[in-house]
Amino acid sequence: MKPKTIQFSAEEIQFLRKSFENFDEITSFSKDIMLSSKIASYGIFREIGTINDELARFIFDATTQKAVRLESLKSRFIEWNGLFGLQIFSIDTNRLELRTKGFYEVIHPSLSKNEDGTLHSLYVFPEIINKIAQSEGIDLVLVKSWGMNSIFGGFDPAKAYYQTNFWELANNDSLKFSDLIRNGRLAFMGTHDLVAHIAGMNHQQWPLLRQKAQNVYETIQTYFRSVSTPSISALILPYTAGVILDDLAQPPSYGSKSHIAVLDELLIKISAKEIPANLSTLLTQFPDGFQEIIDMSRKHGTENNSQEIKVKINFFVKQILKASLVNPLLG
Amino acid sequence: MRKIKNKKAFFGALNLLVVGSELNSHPLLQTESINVPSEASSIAEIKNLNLASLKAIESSWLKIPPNCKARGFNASPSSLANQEISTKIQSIYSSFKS
Repeated sequence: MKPKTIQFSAEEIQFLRKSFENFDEITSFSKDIMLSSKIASYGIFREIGTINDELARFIFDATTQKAVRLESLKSRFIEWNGLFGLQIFSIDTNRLELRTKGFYEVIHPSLSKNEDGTLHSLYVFPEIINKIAQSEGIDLVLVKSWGMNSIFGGFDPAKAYYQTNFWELANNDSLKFSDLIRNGRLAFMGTHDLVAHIAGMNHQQWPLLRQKAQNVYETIQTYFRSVSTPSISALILPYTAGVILDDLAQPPSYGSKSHIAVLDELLIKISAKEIPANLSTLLTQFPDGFQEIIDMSRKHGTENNSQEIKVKINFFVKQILKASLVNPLLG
Repeated sequence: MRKIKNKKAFFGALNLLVVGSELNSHPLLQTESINVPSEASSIAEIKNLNLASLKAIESSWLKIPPNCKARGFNASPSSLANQEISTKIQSIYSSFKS
């Protein structure tokens, strides 16, 4: 049986949105696998071929040995054997190959392949991916607030980023992310989730990962205890910790000592509360030290330079403080 | 009063706030003791300031590469990925055949 192409009407999209709005904040895929499959497929569909497509740079033309053009990537909804999913393809070539760890595991092997082993399309079925994740002891979930910001809104193709990306800072999403990971859960709502976290997942790496997520969760929770509305200045260090934890939850970075070394020092700094959590501040500039911290966490061998880690994080904190105006308005 | 270097962003951000009095800012770096304001007034104030902060930092935020931010994949394309999938995953796919 061949997969059948499905078209979503505007009314069906609206129904999907309303259904999603009625979910709890965190909903396991298994609760309603067909609806979850449609939502995850729709999330990937919205990103394919756009600036937010995280799959694109790993999809290569087997003939030219170059990455396919971002603009050449398209997708369509499909049904097959009672499963709902997505067909991803390039209008430039029907001989594709994939170049990142675990990517082939999340693509249906027999439906996607040419006789020579290259791929004519990438068939993705969230229900099958959910079963693969369950076999690794991971629970795939939908996160309502994230989805309402990304899948069902907040994406302006004219901008070079998801609007949601900004709100991940403002909404202290590091707390939510670390809470998911410490409980053995992963969100599955878009291309980042699929290629960065699910492809290549390995249950053997998760005990350490969950422990680190627990550390992050407890530190941020304690830092903001009794603070209902943290300032943006106070949210930067937790946001940074969340980005590093996100890296650690990606199979290519599982157990990375450099990430762990920087993360541990960052958590010490958060706990020291040098940036008061509840002070009224106007942040005038996002500190460029942030990129240095992330780059440092990704550099092999960083764990051997504890002094450099401390110096750079101290500088980062000073940048945040310097860019923060305290109580700029007085009544 | 600390000199404001990025005046355009700062005054742009202030357009979002009700400016009722003369600005009076004290850099945290030079403050030895910090008085925490009462919670009743601070929550609304912090929310307004957060909106203004996001506006003020947008241009510097955009300079950070996407792969350094949340939901950025820390990986580059390598050689052809391993096309062999495990027996376990093969059997999962097989279980969904008609």
